[in-house]
Amino acid sequence: MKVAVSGASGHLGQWTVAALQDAGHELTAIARRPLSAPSIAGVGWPGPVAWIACDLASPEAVQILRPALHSAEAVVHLAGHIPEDTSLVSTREALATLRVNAEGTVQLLDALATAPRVRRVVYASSFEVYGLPRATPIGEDHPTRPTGLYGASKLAAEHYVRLFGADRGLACASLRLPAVYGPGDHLRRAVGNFVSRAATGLPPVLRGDGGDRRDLVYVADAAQAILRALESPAEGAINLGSGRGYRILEIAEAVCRIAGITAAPVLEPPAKPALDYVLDTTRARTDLGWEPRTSLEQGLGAQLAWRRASP
Amino acid sequence: MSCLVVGGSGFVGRHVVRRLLEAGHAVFNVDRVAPIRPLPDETPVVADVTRPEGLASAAQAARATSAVVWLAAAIRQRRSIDASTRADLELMVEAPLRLLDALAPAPTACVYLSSVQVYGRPERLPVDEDHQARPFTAYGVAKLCAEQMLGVACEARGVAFAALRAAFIYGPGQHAGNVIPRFLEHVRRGQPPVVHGPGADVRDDVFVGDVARAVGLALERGVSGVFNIGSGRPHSLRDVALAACRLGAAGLEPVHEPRDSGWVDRWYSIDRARRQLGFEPTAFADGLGQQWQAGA
Repeated sequence: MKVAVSGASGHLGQWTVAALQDAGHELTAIARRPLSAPSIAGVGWPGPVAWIACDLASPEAVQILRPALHSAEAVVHLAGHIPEDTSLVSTREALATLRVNAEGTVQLLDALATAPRVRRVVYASSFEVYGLPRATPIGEDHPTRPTGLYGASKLAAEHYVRLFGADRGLACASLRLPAVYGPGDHLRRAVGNFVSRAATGLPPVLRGDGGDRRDLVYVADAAQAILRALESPAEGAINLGSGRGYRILEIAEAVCRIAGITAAPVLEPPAKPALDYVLDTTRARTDLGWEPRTSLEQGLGAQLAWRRASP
Repeated sequence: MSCLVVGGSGFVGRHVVRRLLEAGHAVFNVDRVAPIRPLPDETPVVADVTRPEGLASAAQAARATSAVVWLAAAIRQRRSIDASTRADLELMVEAPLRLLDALAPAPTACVYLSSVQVYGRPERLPVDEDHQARPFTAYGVAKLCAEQMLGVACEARGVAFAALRAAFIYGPGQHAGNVIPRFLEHVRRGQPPVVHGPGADVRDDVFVGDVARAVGLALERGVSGVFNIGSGRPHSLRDVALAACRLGAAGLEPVHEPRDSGWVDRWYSIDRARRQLGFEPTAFADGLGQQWQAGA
């Protein structure tokens, strides 16, 4: 299938290009700064990639994308702006988040209006569309009341994708991802911070007692889910995740073990009340035939090895 | 209180400016166009808030204000995603975020005029604020996004933020193409209003003066949260046509045309607004009477 992938130079993007190429798809990659080769050690692209340099939020985006998308049969939309802190409210970050995630999605869909062969859109959304969890695990029918700017912008994009699908009679899916980790993860979030410290021989620092649970998905597993979603007719929101969630302390201790750090993780006073975020992945299993293959230890091991090799 | 009203020259804007002035507040009306009939004591500021220089004029005017009312929007019913969708986000989400950022010190309260379009197709009636929001128009998506992003931005700045989800707004000054002004126009000419189908569709029409009052109440009470602002009493399109007929010559009756209206029944619970704002809507016959008297 001829597939256009936005955000192809990003963390998930580079792994997704590899997974889609391995499956025999013909790719057009969209990114602000095209890559001549993967920048993440460990990612391999078996074939050539056709690149389109485009910032989805720029005023010229629709004009640039229209010819590029003319022959596309499917679109995988990964481009997004993740603010440093997803609840952060600096106006600069708020506007960048809105522009890239909501307005960028609108422009991509606008450009697709003239693409005659498109029959599928897969959007990489986020668990942050849910807001405060009312139940654990969180199913796709959980209310969507995002409490941060990032979640609000991703939710708006999901709605636009849904309206586009309804208007065009296309099956569109939005995958709601938890935090994505693995080689190439540059974010200063829990796993990234733990692994970065461990790479220099220091134990992880965490806030609170580490007893609250978070969900994670290993980047190559997420890329496989995107491939499955692309090839399936499933519509609407579909959660991805570990299926069980991990206590933050459990993640920190696993990092110590893998890195051979004997010191215990450092516990600091909590910044926020403890909350469990675990996604119900029943739908991904039944409708996509997907489940995560990489264990936490394997995934963290790969990220640590990458971190040590690419400091 | 001194208030900055963005979009104060439009249909709802005129009523909001009047309500705020009547309550003794100072009003700066920021709009792309000056009001046709400015009210005494109103300070018009002609500026396009989607442009940097317009935003700067608005922020300049707002230095003296402690509250912001955002009404500016472009109403569209489109489902398709096109260039107008981005323009909607710029006007309804980006511009208020930028304005909030430009205000130092931050205002004490901000009221955003949202819409029941954020809900999409009702799963139950009446639709209350806890109903899932799945808009089926791009306009509804932009309003929902604005509620959420401005809510976060206001909370972080300690600004009270109320989003008012208005039902269908009618009253003096309404655009003539809408169903209620069309019915009144027919009656005025001595012709029967034309109803498509049996007219049994359940709808929720809220009087523009009630929306203006809700805006004032939300500012004055400094409440935060989302609030449905509706009539509290659902009625049918036939009810609307009958009420219009009663204002005209005796013996006038609505005419029904055999056509499927494609309408989805909807009405909205206003319990929260009653409780937290002390909101009480005007009876439809009274609101329609005022619109009739005003000649629009």
